[in-house]
Amino acid sequence: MDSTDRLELARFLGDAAISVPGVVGLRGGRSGEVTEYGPGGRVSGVAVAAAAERLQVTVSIAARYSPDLDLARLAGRVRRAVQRVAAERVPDTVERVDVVVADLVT
Amino acid sequence: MNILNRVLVILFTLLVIAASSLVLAVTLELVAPQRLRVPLLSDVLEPFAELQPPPQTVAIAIAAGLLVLALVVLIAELTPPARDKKFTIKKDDLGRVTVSENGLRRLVDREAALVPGVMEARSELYESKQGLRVKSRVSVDPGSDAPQLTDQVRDRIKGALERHLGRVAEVAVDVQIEPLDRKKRRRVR
Repeated sequence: MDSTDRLELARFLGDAAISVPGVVGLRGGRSGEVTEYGPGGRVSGVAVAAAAERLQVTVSIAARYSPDLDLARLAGRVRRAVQRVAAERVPDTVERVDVVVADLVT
Repeated sequence: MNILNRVLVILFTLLVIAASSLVLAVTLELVAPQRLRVPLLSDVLEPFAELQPPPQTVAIAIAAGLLVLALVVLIAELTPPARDKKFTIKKDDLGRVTVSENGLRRLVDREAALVPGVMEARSELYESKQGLRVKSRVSVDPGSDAPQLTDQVRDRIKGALERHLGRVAEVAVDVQIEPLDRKKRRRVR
């Protein structure tokens, strides 16, 4: 998988993460450590590492705070959404999805 | 900046450092261009060896300036960026779930602010071998029972951290009646 494919996939995975209720956005980190770069663009908040047809994805999100917020459950939903979209888009196996709750907003 | 861009910047700064160092060395007559065993390099540097003040002074100033600038850029590129500390919520075969220090601090502040009578909360998190420690400053309603509020805020924060991180934290709560900014202004970055 080259950088163009990774960037394209990162866009889809980022959209999948944002579509989860309770996620309000993606965050690339202070120095852009969770950012996918490629020709002609970048996706902040998603990083895709591909090796031997196995993917490791990191998604960094901003969550909406509510008194009944459950971070582990929210991260689980993000992980499932990302895995589902990755399975639709690429034949590679998603080995792991790391989720970072980088920010909380009200 | 991605890795390729960063490598290109580092290579370019190394080139500028090498070039400006050579120009400085030749202009200051520390090295004779003929002693350099690369003919093309000797030819390029030869005019610098023949410079007399004031052009010599100008060349030295420009080369020294470029050298310092390139060193500053190189150091900045090679210095690892500051990363936000992360606390693990869950780790299994499918991946790791973490919350950033910033996110956790906001969570603690919001949980504290949910206690009736609390106007505002600002917390700091510390992690050591002894575990996670939270120092929370809260501004409360003047008519409230401060000791009772302190206990309620501490319990609320402890409960939230246990629920989200599965960890017991040591929580210190500092209650004040004035707005938080009056006691200690936070540096705005």
